[in-house]
Amino acid sequence: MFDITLNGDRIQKVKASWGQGYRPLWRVLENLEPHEAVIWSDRFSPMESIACEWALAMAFERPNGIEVPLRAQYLRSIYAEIQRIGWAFHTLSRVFKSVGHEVHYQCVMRLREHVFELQESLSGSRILPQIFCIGGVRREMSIGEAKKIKSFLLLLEYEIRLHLKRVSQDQMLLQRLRGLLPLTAEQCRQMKMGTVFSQASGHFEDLRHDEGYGVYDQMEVFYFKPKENPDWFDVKTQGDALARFRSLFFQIKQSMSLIERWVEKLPGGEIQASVNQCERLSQSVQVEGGSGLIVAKVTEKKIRLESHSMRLRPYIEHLLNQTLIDDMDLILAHLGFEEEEADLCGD
Amino acid sequence: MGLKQRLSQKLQHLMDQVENQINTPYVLVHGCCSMEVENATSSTYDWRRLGFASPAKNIEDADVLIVGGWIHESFSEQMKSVYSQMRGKKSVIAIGACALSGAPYAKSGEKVIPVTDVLPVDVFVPGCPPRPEAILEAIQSVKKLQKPQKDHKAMLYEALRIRGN
Repeated sequence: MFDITLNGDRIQKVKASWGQGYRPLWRVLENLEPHEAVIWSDRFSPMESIACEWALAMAFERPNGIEVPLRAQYLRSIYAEIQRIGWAFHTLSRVFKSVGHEVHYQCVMRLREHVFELQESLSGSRILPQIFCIGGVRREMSIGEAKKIKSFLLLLEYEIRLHLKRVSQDQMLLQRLRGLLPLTAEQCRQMKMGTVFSQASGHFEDLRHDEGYGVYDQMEVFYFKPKENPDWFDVKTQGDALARFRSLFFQIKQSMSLIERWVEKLPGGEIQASVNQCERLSQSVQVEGGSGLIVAKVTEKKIRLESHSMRLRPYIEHLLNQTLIDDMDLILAHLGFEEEEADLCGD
Repeated sequence: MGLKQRLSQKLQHLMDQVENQINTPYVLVHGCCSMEVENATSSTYDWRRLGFASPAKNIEDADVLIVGGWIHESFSEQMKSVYSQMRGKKSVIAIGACALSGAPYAKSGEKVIPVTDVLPVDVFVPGCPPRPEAILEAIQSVKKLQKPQKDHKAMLYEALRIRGN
């Protein structure tokens, strides 16, 4: 719930009363065995569930010295990038909704639905794939499924081209986003904001690129130039909402490019390492989710997962100060922040 | 009364009848289920074709409450207040395992409660999260519940009475 003091139509002061800080999921995770905890962790953040599973799986694998087979690494990366596309569409839908642009909103929702359908055909679940396990993945990818991914990418390519044509000509939308909530690179670093934000602010920080987990070692992919609409994808570095909006499209194209390469090069072999014993040893692991870092902290007694929106809480009041009241929803949508977190679960 | 006036009256009456049949939901859903509820409202599934309007922004405009996601005990008073502010014949749809039974958080030791402890639920939609088709089916069930039921016994007595006369 937000307690807002206005000066005209500008927010003079805002005070957010957050829901409870302790998540019931953490208590659930504490009482589970490691391999069960990985499956349950995806409920922490539904649009970044694979990043949650990956972070927790790595937090168990690293200290126990479990080595994940190469095929499983490829599959993990493919699933993560598919969900990353889903997250980008989800954020775009929030942006269009807060602007009140029903046509663009419905178009993006249809694209998000395509991602859900693909996730269901690959993992059996539309939103919570539960595909990871300690030492690999739980489900093999057949040749038919690889073909499905390829045809999905072709469809997406076409749909995005159409969508971009509509969006890039919508001057009213672009004007609304221009100059809204500029964030500097330093602010992004302080708030540990992820790829979309840091890229839009001119400081490209990407944990996938820096840490090199999974099969994100193909460095050149991160600097690719889309052939069509190169101007649109040439993300400027003003750090405002328009730059972040462009950056979202860039991220979608980047993920598509990554998936395409990996499906082509998918190696054979095992999808799970043999895990004899897995103990809870203290470890903290960071994985790049769609919105930002997903942090998994494991100790002997506790398991904690942290997301972008949780870390952003102390800064929200500061960020909303001196903005127009009409822009508040748009700013929250742009930050990938779920407003419900402030509304519900009060304690 | 001229033909034009009678026609316009008839049309107005028909319009009122249609408007009375449209339900306006208030969505109180968070977590994974909110994605599927949003999908059910979007053009792919489109619950508007079943006589459900877009989710209301004000509670006073709504006559159907859709509840989903885990519910903390401290939130129960707010939920009751939301329910009391709704208009007309009220219905409640509970969506997802968390709202139905508190699962998977029920045994966590936290004060997570099922929605039936707070509100009278008309339709339950199980699933974690349920598919949009299941939500559409729940909407149809609400429609059936709200439709005035024919009293077959009274109709039979009435027919017998007329025949007896």
